[in-house]
Amino acid sequence: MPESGEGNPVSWEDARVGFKPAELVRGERSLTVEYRCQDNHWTATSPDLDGFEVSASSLGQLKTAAHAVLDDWLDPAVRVREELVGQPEQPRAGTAGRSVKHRGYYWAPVKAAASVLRGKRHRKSWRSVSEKGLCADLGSQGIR
Amino acid sequence: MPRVVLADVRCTDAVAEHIRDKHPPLTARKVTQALTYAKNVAANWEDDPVYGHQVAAFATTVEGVAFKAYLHPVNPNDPDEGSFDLNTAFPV
Repeated sequence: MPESGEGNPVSWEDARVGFKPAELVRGERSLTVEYRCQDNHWTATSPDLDGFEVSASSLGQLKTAAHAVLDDWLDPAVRVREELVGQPEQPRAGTAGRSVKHRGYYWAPVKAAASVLRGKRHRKSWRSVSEKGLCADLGSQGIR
Repeated sequence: MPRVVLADVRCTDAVAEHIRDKHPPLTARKVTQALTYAKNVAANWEDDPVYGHQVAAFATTVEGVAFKAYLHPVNPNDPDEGSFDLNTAFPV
């Protein structure tokens, strides 16, 4: 593999002595920044940028810190997409301490029971099953 | 004023391995990402007696590592097409 230009380490200034940059044309570019929360700890990373990782204790602080890094380094022409990855657990009214996932788990049977009591079809099914069971019990005891 | 159109930077596994092994903390991905997204990227064409018509570029990774990279045009007859092969990169 060619090793063009590689030699002894030089300083940034020495390396650029006599270097005259041309006009650089780069097209439309976009970059994704992902914010995620884990154990009340916020982190920003980017699938487009290896080594980019910013942490903070709140989403607001994280965005401020991430924007500071990107403002300092990123080409202003690049469009930044910000995504919140994985919603943090937030207590809801009447469900303090439960996550959204748990809330669905706990409430599903209650909803099902309510629909059984309300719904005509379910009531009929419930009765049918009960009647069948009753008939079976009576039949086993020789009563018809 | 000459110009460098930088649309796409490719890299072979051999070059990626070389950069990772010989020039840490640089990696080919970090170099490519810096050339693509960073501001203050300086690049120009140069003619090397050995390697021919190529682009030399200076940039800094998001972690703050300044480097110099050499890129060869994929289509030498159409340099404005913008596709390059990363040939090497090293910290400066």
